[in-house]
Amino acid sequence: MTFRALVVDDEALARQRILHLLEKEADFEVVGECVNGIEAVKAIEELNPDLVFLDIQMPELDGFGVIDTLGPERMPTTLFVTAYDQHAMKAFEVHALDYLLKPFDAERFQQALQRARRWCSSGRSEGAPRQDLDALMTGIHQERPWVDRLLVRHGDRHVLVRTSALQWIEAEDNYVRLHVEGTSFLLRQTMAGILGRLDPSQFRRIHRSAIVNLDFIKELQPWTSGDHLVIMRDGTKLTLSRTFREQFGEYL
Amino acid sequence: MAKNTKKWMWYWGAWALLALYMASWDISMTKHPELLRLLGMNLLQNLVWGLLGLALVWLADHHPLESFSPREWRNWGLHLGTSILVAALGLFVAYLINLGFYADEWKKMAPTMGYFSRLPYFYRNYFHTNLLFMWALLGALHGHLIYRKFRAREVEAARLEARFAEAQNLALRMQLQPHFLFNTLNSISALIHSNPDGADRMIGRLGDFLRMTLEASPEQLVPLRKELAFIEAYLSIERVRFQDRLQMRVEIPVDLLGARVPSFILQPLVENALKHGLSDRSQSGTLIVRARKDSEYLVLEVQDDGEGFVAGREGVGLSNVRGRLGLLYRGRHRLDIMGASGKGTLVTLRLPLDPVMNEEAL
Repeated sequence: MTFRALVVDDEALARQRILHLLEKEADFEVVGECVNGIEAVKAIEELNPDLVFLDIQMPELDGFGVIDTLGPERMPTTLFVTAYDQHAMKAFEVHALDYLLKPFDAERFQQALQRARRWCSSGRSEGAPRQDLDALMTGIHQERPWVDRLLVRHGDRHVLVRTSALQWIEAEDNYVRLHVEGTSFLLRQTMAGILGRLDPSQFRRIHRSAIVNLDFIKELQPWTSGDHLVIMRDGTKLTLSRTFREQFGEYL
Repeated sequence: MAKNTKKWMWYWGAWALLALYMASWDISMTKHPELLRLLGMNLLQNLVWGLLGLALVWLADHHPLESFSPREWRNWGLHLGTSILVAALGLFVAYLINLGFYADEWKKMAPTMGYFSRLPYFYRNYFHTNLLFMWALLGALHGHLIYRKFRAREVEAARLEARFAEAQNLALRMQLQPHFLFNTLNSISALIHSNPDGADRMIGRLGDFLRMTLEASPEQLVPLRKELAFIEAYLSIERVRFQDRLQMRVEIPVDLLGARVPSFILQPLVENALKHGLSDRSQSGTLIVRARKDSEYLVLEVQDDGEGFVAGREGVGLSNVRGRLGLLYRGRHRLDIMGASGKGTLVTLRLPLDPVMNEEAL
């Protein structure tokens, strides 16, 4: 049985180090290398590897961003690799996940591979225990609650949206629509779910079906029966309903 | 407010004690003393002096004497005049109080001598003592002021010292960046197998970098040359890690290499530029470090072509740099950060050039 591995790290030498150590392992085959999180998301979807070596600190979308984008349930067995990240290391310890600390020697690497083999083979049979990435991500979100970018699918492309450029968010059935600079993207997420990931000092819910970025509000006008009209800088008019008015206690 | 209550307790307490002291003096001078009458009279007299003394309290609070310099003669005159006036007026009221307390005896004497016949005697006997009390009061008030100022200065000095230590501590931690260190070691462990010579070089550079970090001179200012050597050791390692993704240029005129700059001031700026200009995106980036002279100032610039600084998002590194500059130059410097979205960031640092600009001139 051969395991198909994906190596994700923005530093060529760091990838080279893992490739070099994997060469000696007959049961691992490297199916791809990625230099950032966006590539990793694409590669995991396309190549469906058994194991991913995931660096945490990466440009554009970091390791945790990859898991957030795909969702823990769609992640292959994951072996985290990091140089130094106290928060992440604490979370790994708490959730008993294995991780590699750079620099690592061959012996430590083989130990980690041994565990990865077990996870990979058990992952192939239905109902077998899986790596508990869900719990890990919950822990990570508590440590660093707000994201500053979101990766969304747009046709067959992936687009990175900076939350600072996100104007407002609209509920649409089981999706949310992100309005960004004249265009919009659909993301499979609930309103409460996305609100929980955004910095509350910047984003406020103004309606059952709308969240706004305070930086893009031009004015607030009193309207009928306690509602307010929210006028965005691009002219879009939204409603601040009475129920959510207390969110603006400091402004109104 | 509690502080003020305490002040007034001391003030009136002192007058009350003085009243007791003077009453005991009177009692010892009298053959058959009437205790209550003497005590009451002295308390009332001292109450009056205390009230008049408020003028001196006001004077000390609003026009404190700050030096013996001749330029303050008006103020000294004001204090002297007021204290004489207060003592004279206080003594007159005290005389009236004396009249009131011994009215029956005065009634017997008055028809022949007049109510104010004893006033000159009273002034001759008591005026100098009374004036001395007022000066003691002024002295005590000024002593209190000086003490308060001294305490405030002590607190301020302690605060400054703490901030300085904090800045130094942070600077040290920045130099020993664990992330940088471990990633470098990891790069070396990859190079050992693929490129032993490269690994060799990298270890040499890391050694240089660590040595400079450990040799960090306790003196705050170092020649620009030294700071630049540190940056170059740092960047030569980063160049291996990021390979072709990092281009860098250093444009510094030779005659500015001796200019003195705060130690490790450039490193956080360069690190920021790398972080936002390079590590945060996948394309290659260019980093430029420039220095020039602008009349009395040394202008240092660190420029990257990354995503562009977003105002209001300053990290620990930058605020530490600001803190240290503030302590060292006390507002004689400027640190400007300009970012254009997608076009990069330019950090400009203006430092006053010391009169001793070149270390060769020392």
